[in-house]
Amino acid sequence: MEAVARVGSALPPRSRESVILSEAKNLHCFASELNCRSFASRRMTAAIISVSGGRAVAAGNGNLARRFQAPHLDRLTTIQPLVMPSDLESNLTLKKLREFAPQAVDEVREFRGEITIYIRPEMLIRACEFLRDEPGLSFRFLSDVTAVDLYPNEPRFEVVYHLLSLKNAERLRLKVRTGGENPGVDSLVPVYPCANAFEREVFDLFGIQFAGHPYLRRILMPEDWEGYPLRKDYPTEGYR
Amino acid sequence: MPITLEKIPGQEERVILSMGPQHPSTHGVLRVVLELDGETVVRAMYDIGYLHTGFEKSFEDKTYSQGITLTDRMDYLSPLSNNLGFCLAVEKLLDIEIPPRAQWIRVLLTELTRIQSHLVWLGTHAIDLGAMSVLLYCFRERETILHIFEMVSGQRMMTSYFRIGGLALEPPLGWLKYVEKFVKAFPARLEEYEDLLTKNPIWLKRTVGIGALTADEAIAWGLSGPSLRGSGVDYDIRKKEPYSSYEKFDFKVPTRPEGDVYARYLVRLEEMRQSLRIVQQAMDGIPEGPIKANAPHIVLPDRESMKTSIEALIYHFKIVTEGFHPPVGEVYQAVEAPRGELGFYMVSDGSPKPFRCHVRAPSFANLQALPKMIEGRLIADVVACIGTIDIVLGEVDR
Repeated sequence: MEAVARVGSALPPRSRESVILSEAKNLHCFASELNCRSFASRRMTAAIISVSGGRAVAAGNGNLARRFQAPHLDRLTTIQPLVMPSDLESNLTLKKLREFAPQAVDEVREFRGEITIYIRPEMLIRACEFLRDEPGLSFRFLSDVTAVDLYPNEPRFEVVYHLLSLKNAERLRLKVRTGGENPGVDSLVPVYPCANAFEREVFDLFGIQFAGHPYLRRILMPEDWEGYPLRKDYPTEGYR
Repeated sequence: MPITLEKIPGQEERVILSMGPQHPSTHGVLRVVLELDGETVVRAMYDIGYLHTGFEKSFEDKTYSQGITLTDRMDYLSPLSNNLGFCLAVEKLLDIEIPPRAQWIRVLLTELTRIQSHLVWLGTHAIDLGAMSVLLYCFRERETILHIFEMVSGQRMMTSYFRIGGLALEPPLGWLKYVEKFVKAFPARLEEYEDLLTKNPIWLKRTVGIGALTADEAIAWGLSGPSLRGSGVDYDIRKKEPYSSYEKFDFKVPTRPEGDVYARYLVRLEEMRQSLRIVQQAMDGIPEGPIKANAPHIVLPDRESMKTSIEALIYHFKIVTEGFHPPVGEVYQAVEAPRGELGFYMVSDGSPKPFRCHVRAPSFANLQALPKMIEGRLIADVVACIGTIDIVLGEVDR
């Protein structure tokens, strides 16, 4: 398994080796924070770790795969694979977007050949307009808008956009981060009319505000419903 | 307080009509609020959520394998397409290889699903516009397909036949005979429906020029599937982003430039013919081999080895009680469902349950074009337009 894990959002990626060394150190701290047995070593070249339901899972390359108990934590920590810059250099979309607005791109990830670009919230509309209108890219089809709740981490929400270029048969995932206090991002309705219902759904189920949306009301839940069901702190069986 | 249309200040009062949620022509519990000037629709708005059951929340509380049964119940007219989308998304997350035999059977059955889903659409669409007999014929044909589903999976509708890593079980001996019988009989039946409708003057009056959308409008409103291709956009995920070996099959993607109800009708009819071609090819070329991937920690072992091998028994126990752990990451997998682009966005945190599973439902997106289609038209056309976008409310509301 070839991947590099990152704990929290503290480390800027530098060179491969230094990242891995600080990874190992960080995993060490992380494990001791959880009051569980640490397993990271300086020799490891890869690690993926996740925590859920009171159990943490760690996988390294080869015999480092291990599991250990973490009784105090019952939800995900933001640990996701990082991509080394070399994997993405050849990507045309990313190159053009960086040329257009270097400050728009916050971070880039790749998993299973799918590219995720984190866009700074203030640049979302401009970036989407560029992606839609640039003749070589032509991401004219917004296929989906949704969100992910990373509770209890901050920034808590990620709003996820899936764009499709009908011309190049290429898909692109954009993400915008927003905090747990008054979560909100700009509405994409001026750029893609079909964002209307998708954003209403995200507002309805996550409570994320979309600034500039023409009709931001609940769409699936009843009008007088309290709470936002898809948030992680909302129980699956509901409140009784 | 249900959704209603607010009065525009300074304008004379008009009749507000609430169509649905209990109305035979809204194909479920869709409510459409119409502002009428005489018989003309001035403004329209749809109201959904009557079937909302929180599938996306339930996914987070079930293991990946358990999630498959939920997908059947979303778009209940094309359960196998939903199964396929879900399984492909999880398989992408796990990065496992599916044996060719399983892929071929998947293609065969999803194409049969497309035909039976289009048959329900054709029958209900025709009866909405006053052609009674088509419905009866279509349901007769659909029943033969459902019989095939029952043969392979044990269920007519809630099949859950595709599993992560392959198929639930080997289809019974001789099932292809029934498929062949259907493939032989169906083209003549399709001719019969066309005789009833395609040149019928009443049908033409009710459909030609109604609910027309240009290609740009269709793209802007997020239409997909036959609704998009009826507006002249040649985009079919099976062709452009092939999955499950679709690149090995020879079929055409029908498009029509007009973008009206009639164009979408012709596109769907032609799609049934093309699906039939795919079924024929799949049937002729089903390879021999296993129906499950070689991934013992993900795919349940067969009964025989479970009772004779201790490893298989351990794996069985682990998969059933705990599930499997995909790597941390996220994927989006789109498939061409009968209604359009069905996408599963899956986020894994490494635990046996999805951290987030979002469904991009084609009906949910397609429904947005409804007000655009009916504003300025007669109230009778509303029924034609609801029929033509072919919504399933189970999928819209999830």
